[in-house]
Amino acid sequence: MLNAKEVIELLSIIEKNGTIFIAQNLGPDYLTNQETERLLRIGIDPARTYLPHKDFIMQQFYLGLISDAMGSDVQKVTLADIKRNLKAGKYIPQTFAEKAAIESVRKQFLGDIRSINGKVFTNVSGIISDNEAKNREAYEKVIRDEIERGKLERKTNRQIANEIHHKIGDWSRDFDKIVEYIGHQAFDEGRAALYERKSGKDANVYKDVYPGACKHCIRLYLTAGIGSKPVVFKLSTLRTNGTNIGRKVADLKPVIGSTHPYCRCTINRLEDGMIWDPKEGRFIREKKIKIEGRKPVKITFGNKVYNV
Amino acid sequence: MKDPYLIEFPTFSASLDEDGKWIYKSKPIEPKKKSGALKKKYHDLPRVKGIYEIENAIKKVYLKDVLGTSMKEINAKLIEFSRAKR
Repeated sequence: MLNAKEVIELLSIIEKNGTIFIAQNLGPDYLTNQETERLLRIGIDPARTYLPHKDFIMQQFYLGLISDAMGSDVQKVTLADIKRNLKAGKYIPQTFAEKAAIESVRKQFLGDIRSINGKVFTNVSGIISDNEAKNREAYEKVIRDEIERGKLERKTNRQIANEIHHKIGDWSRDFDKIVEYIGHQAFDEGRAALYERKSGKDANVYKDVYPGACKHCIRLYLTAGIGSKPVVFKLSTLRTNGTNIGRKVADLKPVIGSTHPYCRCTINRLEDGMIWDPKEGRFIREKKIKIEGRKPVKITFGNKVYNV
Repeated sequence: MKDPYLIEFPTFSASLDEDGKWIYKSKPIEPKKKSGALKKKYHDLPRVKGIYEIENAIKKVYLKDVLGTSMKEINAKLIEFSRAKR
């Protein structure tokens, strides 16, 4: 039977690796003092583990930011390109609002990571105590027989290891769901940041709702079902709605990022002079207009230069 | 014109003919939705290549560094505990 110290030792492995993940992917600012001290004690300096170009929220945000300017060329962008550009500092400097948007997505991710790590911790703890409870009777029978007791202990430990292994699939799926939600959130926040730069807080925006989208997205973002004219919102309205986390399905609101898990609806800007063409099923330019005022920012991707 | 005697049931419908007999018609059975079907549908939607790569990279890191490493270390500890008690 595992004693209390051994159980704590096993569970601390999960805590440690979860903490390292947060330090590497979100940065040292997202660790508690205790976590920082714990990492320093095992020879890991949290201040040196975080690399901005490897930050997946930053990558998605940046991809969102450039996606509108690149048009269909964005399909060719690879992760290696994004990393290279972020590493070389080729990203557009962030405004206060953009930093706040990234910060908000990061905090959301932190909450989700802590929650899933907590679940792993609880599950492992449950597996250990369940297996010990199952074998307690057998253990009591052989308590005086050292050889039999050793065999039983090894069997229990093997069972614990097997059950933990089987659980990996569940934890991995939970994490996938988190990543896709947060990733899309960061991507759409990147796009929204660009629209805010170009047209201000009250930029007119809508969502691209794809065929196969859920009934909630159709209800929230389209005027009359799939293929119909999208509802046009002020960007500030969507920002005020925050996120749909914790809201019941009936209470879902139109938001900038993911409306629900696995949501793919993408935020888009309605430029001045664009009108809805029911035949084409999209907004088209009514007449050519010249946008004045702001000098475009240039982004280089490979040999191509895009004006943002 | 809608049949006033038509009664709809989840798997069949029943209606009265001119002779007062009930005519039953079974409805086509729709295949049950497999779990994950909805998720798959969303995955089929058009997305940027870069998004997939970013998502897959972080998923791989979590699977390998957090779950994979933890499980290896836990296994090693369990073996260590077993050996210590021999």
